[in-house]
Amino acid sequence: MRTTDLELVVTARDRHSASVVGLTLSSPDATDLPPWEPGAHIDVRCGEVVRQYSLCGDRATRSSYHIAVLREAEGRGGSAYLHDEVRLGDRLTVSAPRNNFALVEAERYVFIAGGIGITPIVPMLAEATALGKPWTLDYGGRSRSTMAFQRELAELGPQVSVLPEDESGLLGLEALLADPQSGTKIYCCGPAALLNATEKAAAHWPPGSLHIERFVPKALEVSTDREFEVRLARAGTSHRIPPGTSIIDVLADAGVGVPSSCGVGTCGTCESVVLEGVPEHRDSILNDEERAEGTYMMICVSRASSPALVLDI
Amino acid sequence: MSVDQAGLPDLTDETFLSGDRTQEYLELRAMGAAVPLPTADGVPTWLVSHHADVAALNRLPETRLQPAGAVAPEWLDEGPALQRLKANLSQIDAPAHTRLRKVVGPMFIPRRVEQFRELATDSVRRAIERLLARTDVVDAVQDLAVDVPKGVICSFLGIPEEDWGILTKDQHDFLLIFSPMPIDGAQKSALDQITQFYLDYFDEFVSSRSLEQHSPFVRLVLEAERASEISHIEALSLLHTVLDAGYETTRTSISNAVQLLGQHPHILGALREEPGLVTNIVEEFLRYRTPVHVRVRFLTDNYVASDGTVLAAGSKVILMLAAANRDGAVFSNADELDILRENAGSHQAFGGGLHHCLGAPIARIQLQETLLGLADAFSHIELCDGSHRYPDLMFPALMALPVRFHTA
Repeated sequence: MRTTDLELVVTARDRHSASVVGLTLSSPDATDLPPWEPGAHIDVRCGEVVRQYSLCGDRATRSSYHIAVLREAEGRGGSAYLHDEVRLGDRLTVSAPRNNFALVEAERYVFIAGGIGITPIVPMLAEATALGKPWTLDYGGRSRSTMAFQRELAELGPQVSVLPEDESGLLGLEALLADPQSGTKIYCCGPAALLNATEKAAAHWPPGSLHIERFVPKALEVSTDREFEVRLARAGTSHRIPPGTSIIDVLADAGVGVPSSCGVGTCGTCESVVLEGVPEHRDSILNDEERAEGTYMMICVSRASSPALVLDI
Repeated sequence: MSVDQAGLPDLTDETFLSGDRTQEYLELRAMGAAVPLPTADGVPTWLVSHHADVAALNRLPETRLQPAGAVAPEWLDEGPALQRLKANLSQIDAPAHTRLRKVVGPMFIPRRVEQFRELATDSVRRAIERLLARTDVVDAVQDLAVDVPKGVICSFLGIPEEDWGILTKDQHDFLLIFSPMPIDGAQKSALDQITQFYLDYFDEFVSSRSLEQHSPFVRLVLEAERASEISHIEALSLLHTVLDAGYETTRTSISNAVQLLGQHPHILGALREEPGLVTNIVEEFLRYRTPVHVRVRFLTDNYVASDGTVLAAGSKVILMLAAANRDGAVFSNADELDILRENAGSHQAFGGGLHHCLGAPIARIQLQETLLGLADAFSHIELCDGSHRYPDLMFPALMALPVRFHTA
């Protein structure tokens, strides 16, 4: 987490559905928090891990943020922490809002949400309404009991279609997106299967029509990396390198900058000297002897086959 | 930036092309993470100018330099240029690219390239000695920026410096091979002609002496050919690439550096006081005045840009390296030159990923040695009237930079 992080107090817990809890996070002294735009998310420290949650409250309320958290059975512990351990009055460390899913200007919007993917869409609906732009929402989920924000959405009128899978099957994306319309933007958030289906159904739309947000980075889903430790002989510090994150990124976050260029082990800029431990080479520069010798490694891609490495940094 | 009726930027505007581009790139970034361009051939085409996306796309191993299923642009028909392009490290995809890069890549990593620093120091020393003998206005492009890479490349390849004139005279014709748009018939025949000249030159050069008499780099390439790892035209192309890529971009980066030293007079003094600053100054110069402005990639999978825009598989993306290097989301006060900038090295000037500039470490050494040499010899650099840039989207090189070098 960074110096611009915020320490916020949990001032409300609401049940949005059987498996979704809403948390209101307020500034301790009721001062204004950094503003945000629809589509923005914050990083939330959940015990040992950091998770991203979309902001889904009212932007006019400046002293607090609202997030909605789905309990994920196979999640990596973040959602369980927020569901089970966080109580009213607790403090949470969160980042300033960032937006990777900004609502760009359009004449008309088609919103598609699946499950907890409704969260970034909720403030977009308010924004589109405020701008006087026509929109529709198709909102799918497993069953009504799992789908958050149904009451709030029902108040918005007939342009909202709540379509639980156990009642109406999967969302009819092909029919919904059959006729491409220039000037219309499609915003979709939800599980990977929904995003992929939407990408396919919107393939014949003009470039730039479709905007999506993925909750889990693609690369993390297939990662088979193991965690290991890196000790820096000259800096005297020690760092855990978790699966899916490179040595160089962990060091950069800790304020240890190592020059790097290509990011994939082809240019040799980040080459580092190994003093102890056995590197697992993933670069495309070192020859067989150098690999066996293990004196040099490219820390943008290579990892460790021993539990720890000591680097001359 | 001048825009058409649909609000799309005009990338052929001469004032924009030969200008400073700061304002235009600011406007381009403000248009969004990915700006769709109209295309004639039906391939969706995007301008991508945010650092997050340029860096991610540079590094995505699946993106291609040629469209899926193609090994060359459709508009380039049979001829020497097509043969050369198909063997050009900076224009081909896996598996051929992987095979060629494996031959030369290991020689170009910083640890091994350090041994060539002496070539750069020597080349800079000779150029500065000639400048010290002059009191009139000199052209920093012809009288310095050309000479540094000339000395390094001639030694690296083992070619005689007397050949430099004929080797670089029509070099800009060869740059047409990198054109992101179709070229016309006259350009195509100029490109074919210059390509044939280079292939003939290097063919004659490699057979002019025995393997043992060649430079270590040429030996490495010829041995790979003997071992059937690469073909003859690939071997000739690798040698030519060292000349072509090593000259154009290094000359431009050195010219840019001299101009920046003239515009920011405190830097020469700062360097004299603390020569260790040179590493960061070079990175900041490359960020602030990027030599190659554009690279092109073709997507093999859908790509989701940093604002959620979906770029479909098959799209052509024009990576605006120089615009990304001024992105305020990554560099604070991005349009200011700051030689102490902590993350200057996060620039995208050398591209990234599998096609990261092969010669980057040698370019860095030449720039570092040039700056140190200039700081050592001169108290300040006075910029004179008459500098101008070549109006090219990708390679806006300084063509002339009249200056006076002052010793006190």
